[in-house]
Amino acid sequence: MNKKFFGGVVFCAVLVASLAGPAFSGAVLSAHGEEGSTLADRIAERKAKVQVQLDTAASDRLKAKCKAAQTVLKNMQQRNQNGHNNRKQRYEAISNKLTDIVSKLEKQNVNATELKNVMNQYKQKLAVFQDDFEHYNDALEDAIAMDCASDPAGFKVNLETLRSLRQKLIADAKDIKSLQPQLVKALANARIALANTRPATNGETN
Amino acid sequence: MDANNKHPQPSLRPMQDITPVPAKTEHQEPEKPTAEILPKTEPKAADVDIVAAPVEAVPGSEVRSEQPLPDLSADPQTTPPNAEQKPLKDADKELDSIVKEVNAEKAHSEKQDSKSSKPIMVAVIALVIAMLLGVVAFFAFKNTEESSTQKDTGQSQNATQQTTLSPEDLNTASKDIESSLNQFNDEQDFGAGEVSDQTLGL
Repeated sequence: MNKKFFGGVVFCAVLVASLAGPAFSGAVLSAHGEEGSTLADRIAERKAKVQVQLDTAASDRLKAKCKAAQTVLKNMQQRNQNGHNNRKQRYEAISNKLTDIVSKLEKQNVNATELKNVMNQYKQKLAVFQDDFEHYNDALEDAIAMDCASDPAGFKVNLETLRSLRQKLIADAKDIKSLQPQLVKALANARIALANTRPATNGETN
Repeated sequence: MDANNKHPQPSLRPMQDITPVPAKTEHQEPEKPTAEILPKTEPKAADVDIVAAPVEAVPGSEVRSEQPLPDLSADPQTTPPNAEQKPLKDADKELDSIVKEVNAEKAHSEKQDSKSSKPIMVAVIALVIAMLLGVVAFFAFKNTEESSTQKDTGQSQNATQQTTLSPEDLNTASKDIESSLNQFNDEQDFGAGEVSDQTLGL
């Protein structure tokens, strides 16, 4: 009886572990977006992309001051977190709204080709922004978390990556914003087309 | 007479079996002949064993019983009290031992019963808990199903209400998108100044 009871307990534990395990490991892996990549891997990858030459004086200066710089970066991350997340959510909300409008226009037999094209461009630019934003967040996390005193060159590479990604994000945001006139125009044309089809639809139904 | 009846009570004996024996006292009047008292009857075989000395009743002669009659209470077949107590004690001892054995067996069986009832109790408790969990899960599932059904119904109602677009909807959407895109300050959010060497103290 005891053996059976113990067996039952073990079976339940294994079942729970097997169910909860993948979810837990998935959460861990998705922390940095790249499965299987470690901090050292990512720094090595960035070192390969960005060439940095540090003389002894610069290296010593970085070793001495990088800890304080990490604190500044941490404060900046916390300060900008809400603003960045808000921007990301608003971009996604626009994308969802455009999808909904196009879908409904098509159901109402309204020509939405122009709006659909602009929407697709918007989604492509948004995907680029989201990808760069993920990389920026990873680089910032790594710059804050790494042992900068033992690897000043790696820290410098991370900083340069951060700077270039921030420039890239500004460019991505401007790229998205550049679609605004096209979006407004496409929506206006769709409104006219819809207004023209509504009386005919009403006449059919009545 | 029953052989097992070791202590026969005289009062239970039939009266005709008892031959009255007059006590021999000085003030006693001369006894009448027994023949006058007792009816002339042939001694029965059953009476022989009780009356030790047969009285010869001769008509016209006095019969005096010189021999004392044996005590009726004293059964010749019974054993004396001292001899009788020994087997009694033995029997008591035997009885005690039997009772002890029975009690021990009873206790043992009760122990075994209690031992065998433990797993049953555990199984019953497990069954009850499983049933409770099942009931709770059922109600939880029912509630979630109901709520999801209500949610779906609400969503579908909303969807049917808003499946069609009006030109005003497109106008509103255009204004919303425009204001959303204009509200961001890209240079402030991702400016180079925040990660410059000067800002970081490098």
